[in-house]
Amino acid sequence: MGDLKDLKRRSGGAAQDRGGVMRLVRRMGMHCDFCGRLALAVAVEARPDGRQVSICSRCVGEAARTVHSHGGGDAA
Amino acid sequence: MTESSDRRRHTRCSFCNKGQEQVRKLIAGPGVYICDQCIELCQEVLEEENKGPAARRPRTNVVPSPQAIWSSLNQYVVGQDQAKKVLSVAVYNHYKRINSSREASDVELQKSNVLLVGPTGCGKTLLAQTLARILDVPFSIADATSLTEAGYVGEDVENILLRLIQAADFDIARAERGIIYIDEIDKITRKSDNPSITRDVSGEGVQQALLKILEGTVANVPPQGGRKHPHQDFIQINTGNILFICGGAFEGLERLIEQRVGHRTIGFSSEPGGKRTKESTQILQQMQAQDLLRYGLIPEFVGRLPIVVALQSLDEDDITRILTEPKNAFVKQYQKFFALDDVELVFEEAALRAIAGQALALGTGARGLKSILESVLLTSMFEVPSHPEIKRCVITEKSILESTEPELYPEEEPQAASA
Repeated sequence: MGDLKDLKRRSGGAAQDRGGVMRLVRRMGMHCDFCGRLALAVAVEARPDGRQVSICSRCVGEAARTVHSHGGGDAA
Repeated sequence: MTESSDRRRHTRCSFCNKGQEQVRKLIAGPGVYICDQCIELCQEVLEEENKGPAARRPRTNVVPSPQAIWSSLNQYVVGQDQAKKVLSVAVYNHYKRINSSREASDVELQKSNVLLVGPTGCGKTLLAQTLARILDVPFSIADATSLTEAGYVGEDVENILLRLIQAADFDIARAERGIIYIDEIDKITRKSDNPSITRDVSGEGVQQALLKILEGTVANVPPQGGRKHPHQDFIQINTGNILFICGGAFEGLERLIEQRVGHRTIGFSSEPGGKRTKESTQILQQMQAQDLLRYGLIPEFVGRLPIVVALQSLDEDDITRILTEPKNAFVKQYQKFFALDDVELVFEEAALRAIAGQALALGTGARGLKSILESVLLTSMFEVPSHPEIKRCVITEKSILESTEPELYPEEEPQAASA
């Protein structure tokens, strides 16, 4: 947890080098990479290795519920 | 190494790049993964956002009483007492309805959109803007003249919702409780009673397109505006709790009402193409749905605007009050401009009357005031900053009627001035 939290608090190139900055964005026409819906007001975005990943608030909520539930949720 | 273990080894969180063995759980999306730690962090980021200014903004759960709304409207809008009263009650009931919809009940309260009818410059838009300010809800003004039926050149009706979403800073839930003022609604009336081979795409067609939005539906709004196309994502917004206020001048509606009620001015005073006065617009109080139908609104459209408010033309007294009484009255605004240069700006009572008279002659209601004041004060605003010895500027009746320069005084002298 610590790594990303630290990254969040930093800004600029150093943070980018270490994997990505997680921040909230408000931008038109952005999609959630998990559900594919138009992620409008609340989307969290990070750029590990220069790649941009977005997740909308709805998917964050669902993922959190999955994580806290017993069993399931593993990808592999 | 098996395929499964190889996949496991390469599965990493797309956000922090940690491998699966480094985290407790990894949630998969189509080609993307997120670990439990990043989910927690995302939640934190979102929670922080919820504690931000948007969340601290007072919600409209506590709606001021109709009397409180009425007195707030009084601070900004002069006259139109009946319209203010009707609007106060309508808006209060609307938000009471939204708040009560969360409680399960057998009785479902229906929404009541508002139609404001009144001559140009009488305060229709100002009333709607002031309402939005009092209630602290997103507010947008749309222009009905640019709307066309879907598929034709012009704006689709859904674009009026996009403006509201933008006003709500893309907070859809907040936008769903906002107010949309559709101006110039009389310009989308049916162009002709006769069925024609050509479609009325900017008239009746727009009324038909607005029906579902006014009534309450889940509308698909293109996020970039413009027209819809099939390979596009849409913002979904429920219009069920959006209050629509439509406003229009409805020029000539008085004559239709007069014909219906049998009251007709005859002789030379009838002035068929004359200006609308307070007396001539008095008859708007007797307006009924059938008059709007005869004017060119379709029955389905009129039915979705159950509250009809008639506003009257402003007379000289009203316009004089508009100059000085509202919170942001023009006279106060210019006095502040001059005060920034350390100059006292004084309007004589007769000068205010003269300005009101000129505005009335223009026939544009209160809209004409600003241009009259600008032209009267232009030279003074040009001269005053270059002459620090000037401490007082007096606008007299002569300077309005005869277009002479206002009187400028170097030091404060006792003057018989009023405003």
